[in-house]
Amino acid sequence: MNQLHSLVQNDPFRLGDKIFNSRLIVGTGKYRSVAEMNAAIAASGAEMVTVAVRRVDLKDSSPNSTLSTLLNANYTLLPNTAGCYSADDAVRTCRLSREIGMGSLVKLEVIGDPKTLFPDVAETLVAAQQLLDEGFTVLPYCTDDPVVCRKLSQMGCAAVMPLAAPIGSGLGIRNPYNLKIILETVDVPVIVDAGVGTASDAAIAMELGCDAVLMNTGIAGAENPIQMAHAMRLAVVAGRLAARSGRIPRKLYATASSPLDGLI
Amino acid sequence: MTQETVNITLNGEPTTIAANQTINDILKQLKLTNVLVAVEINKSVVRRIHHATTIIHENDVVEVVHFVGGG
Repeated sequence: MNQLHSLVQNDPFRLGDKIFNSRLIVGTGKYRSVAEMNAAIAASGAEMVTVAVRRVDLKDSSPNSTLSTLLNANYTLLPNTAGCYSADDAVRTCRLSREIGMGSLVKLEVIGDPKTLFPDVAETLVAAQQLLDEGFTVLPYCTDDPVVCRKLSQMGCAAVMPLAAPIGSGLGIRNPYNLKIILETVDVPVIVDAGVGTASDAAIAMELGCDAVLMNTGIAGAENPIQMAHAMRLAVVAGRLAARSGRIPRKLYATASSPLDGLI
Repeated sequence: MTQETVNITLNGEPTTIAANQTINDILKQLKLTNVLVAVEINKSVVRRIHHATTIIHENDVVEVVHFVGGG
């Protein structure tokens, strides 16, 4: 276990000017309670968590327990622009999130369709350029399109975050070949964002060579989110170690594992 | 004659407030001082250092936002 610890610790993940030991980024939505969210994030080992920017409910004067819980645990907050359908709204949301005071890191998400929640790529590119011009560290959610990912990377985004499947669908890694091409195309971290349904999906993303995985529903929507968070943590570590270990080539026929010499 | 109240839109709701109030005055009434919020007037963020001096005017569209759980 100590050796495992050092393998993981000696494999930092860099995003902009931040360094993380965990390659799992988790969302904070959809939990049944703040306590459950807190326990699940702790079990996931994540160091960075996403949050959304929303109107304060002026009729409800109770304190913001989600935010105070996250701040007490010292997580890096990654504000998102979920729910934005235009570059303008996404940029406004990012400006507000920076003003709240959590730095300039943002998860840019410009949605193009309510049923699939697929990104509006054209608007995403416009918003990304504007945010980069304003000094934000931009992590864009995008389609698993190598050309779009290359453009976002060349613009100066700190990572690209292609979807593996629609948000909240749990369909897993639908197009591993596109992710492979994206990994060869861009020179910034590739974070699979959306679509992970269970531990093996996270492991596959990491085995492909992705730098990190971002998920929310896969954990929060599980019957036992805390246990699933732990499973995801192990899967990301397992997939990462496997990716760095040089897997055997796939072969059609068997190769004996036991020596043929000395058979009786 | 000076106007005693102004009509604004606050977080999407038509709202009437006393005239000549600053953002800080409003946040104080909403018990949102010492809380991590950001304020936008007419789609432009108002930096925290300007909350004490920014007066809210008739027809202003004011948004007060914070962080909530999300993916």
